[in-house]
Amino acid sequence: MRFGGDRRRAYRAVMAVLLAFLVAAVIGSIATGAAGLSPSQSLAAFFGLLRRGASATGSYPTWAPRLLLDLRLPRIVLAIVTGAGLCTAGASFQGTFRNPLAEPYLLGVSAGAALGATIAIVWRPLAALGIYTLPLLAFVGAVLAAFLVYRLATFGGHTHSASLLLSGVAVGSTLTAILSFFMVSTERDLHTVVVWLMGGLSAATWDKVYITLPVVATGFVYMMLMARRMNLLLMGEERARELGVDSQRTRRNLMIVASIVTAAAVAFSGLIGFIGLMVPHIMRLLVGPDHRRLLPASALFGALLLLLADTVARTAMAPAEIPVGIITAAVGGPFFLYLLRRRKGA
Amino acid sequence: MTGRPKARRLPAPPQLLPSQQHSVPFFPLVLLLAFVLVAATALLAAGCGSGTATTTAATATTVTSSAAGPGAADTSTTGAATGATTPTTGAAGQTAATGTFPVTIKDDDGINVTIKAKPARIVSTKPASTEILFAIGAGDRVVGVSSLDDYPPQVKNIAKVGDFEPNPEAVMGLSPDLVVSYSGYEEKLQAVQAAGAAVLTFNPVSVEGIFANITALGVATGNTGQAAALVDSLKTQIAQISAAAKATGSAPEVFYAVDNTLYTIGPNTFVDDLLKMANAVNVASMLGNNANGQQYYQYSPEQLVAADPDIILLPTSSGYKNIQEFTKDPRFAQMTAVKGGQVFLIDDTTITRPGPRIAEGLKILVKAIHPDAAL
Repeated sequence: MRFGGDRRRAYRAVMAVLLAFLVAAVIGSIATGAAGLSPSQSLAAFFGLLRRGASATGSYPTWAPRLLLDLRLPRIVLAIVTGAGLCTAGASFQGTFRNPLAEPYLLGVSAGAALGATIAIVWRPLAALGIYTLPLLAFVGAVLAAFLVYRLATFGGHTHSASLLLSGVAVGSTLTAILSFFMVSTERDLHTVVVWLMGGLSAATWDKVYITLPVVATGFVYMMLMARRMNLLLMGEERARELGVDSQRTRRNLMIVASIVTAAAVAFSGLIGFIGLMVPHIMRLLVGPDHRRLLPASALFGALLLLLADTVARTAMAPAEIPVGIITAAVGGPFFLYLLRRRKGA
Repeated sequence: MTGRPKARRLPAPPQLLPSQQHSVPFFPLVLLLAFVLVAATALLAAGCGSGTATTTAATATTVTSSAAGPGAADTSTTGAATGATTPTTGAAGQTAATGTFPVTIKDDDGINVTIKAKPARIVSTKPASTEILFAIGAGDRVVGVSSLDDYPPQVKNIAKVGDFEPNPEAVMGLSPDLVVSYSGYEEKLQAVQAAGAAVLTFNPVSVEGIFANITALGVATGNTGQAAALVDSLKTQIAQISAAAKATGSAPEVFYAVDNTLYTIGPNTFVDDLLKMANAVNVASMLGNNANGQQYYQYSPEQLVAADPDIILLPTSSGYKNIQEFTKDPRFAQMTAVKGGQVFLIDDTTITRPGPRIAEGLKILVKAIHPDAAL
């Protein structure tokens, strides 16, 4: 038997529950918002939009379908894609480096993205490239940081996860210092930088979905194809090598792909912390360490969590917004600790 | 922590082992990823690059569509026929008190915005613009403001649509035909624009700039006559106050604290302009490196002590609650202004808000700087 029957049943149950919750969250998210629409009006406008497009009319204001199409729906989709991207990247980092702390923040990837974004905001001549300057530079920053950390941690063709984390922290601190310098030396853009760093999906548009979605989806497919190798890497470098896995190459490739996915996820949403670290751990407790299950479960749970957090972010204090990173960390931290304690106690 | 699970829990039986021969091609994949990203970005950048240039056209068409909506009663005979090729006339060319539409206004972000018909539902997310709208008689058409708005008192009963940052959903929910905002939120307001609203942004850096904003809002609302009258009245008041300040014959050096870390205003700000009109010299404007348009400066305590200004102004919004917080600071004890009792706490509500009460703000500055001026 390939899998334990319990595990398979648990996996199916978890996926079914997550999917049900995600559908419910999408409906709930469509129904709520800062505009003066009641939930029933919002849903009526949504079905009108589905049937007859943005010019649909019914028991709701004429602008309601347009509002859903241009503001609420792209934001919902971007939250789902971003959440899934951050969490699959987190699961790959943790699995590849056999380290529970491996995630974009500690590996310096987020700091690289943040520095790229800050340069895009502060350095005005770049603005000529349009509103895609920021995501492109965030992307370049993340990938360069990942390469740098990887090179620094590789000695004689071997990359140890301890040295990888250490060089990640060192590179991250250095990049953060440069970022802080940019922040104190600019007055007019400080607000923009701070808002980006805090993270949020309030500027979501379909254009951003069209860029993020293909990258996250392609990255996910690649990770799924590599899932069995990640499983073997968990057994240790020696055994993986005996079993025919070029662990060095596999790790490098996965790190780069996970960095690209991270960059695509944070490029438009800013730094949304914690879920990329926490979600894979929670899912590992529920469905086990096999990446063929862990990756889809993490993607689904990450999508659900970020969508819920963002819905709270845009409705709790409307019309003001709460940075979504505050919610993910405030809710996720205690919940994660609870799971951890319960598991240890059992 | 389960990040390092025990091997026995791993599935992966031997027959499923991936072999090197069947390895997933990596670099083609990275290339594909890179290609997807670059292609998508290039496509969208091309689409958006023209976005700024075609703002006028976009606004024109969307306003046309909104004319069929609830605001149709206000639409004059300027129907769709005149639409697509609205002549671009600057705000200055439209100052005649006729208030005819369509009009095209160049806002402070340099964007030419066309307003096709007299706006009936206005959202202002900038307190200074809200004050201007009320002062030029367009207040009854304001249907949404920011949570920072506090003047005139009527704004308390108007729907709130965000703080510094407008919440696009809340704005759209009010179905406005004109949105007045701070600079830099065009992207956030794209959907609002697509739904038919003209978006104007203002960010004046001089007192003349404030007058230009008032004139532009007059053109935008059709209340050109009231706007011109307001500008004239402000110019007269400012000239009188300024003359009284000049008559004192002294031009003291002033340090104006933006916050309690010695952040201060440089040239290229309307507050610096006001200080000049109050017959004072802003010490930070003497730094000289303002070629890049820098508006604010961070002073160090040493720099401030070395500059030793005659007067130190602590605006209420700076975070200083009383002058003792500054005068009791041992670092500043030997400064001329501290020893001479020339540190003042001033209410800066009207000073830092580039709106119709700017003359009152100037008066507060002059009273603090020249207590002997004949006001």
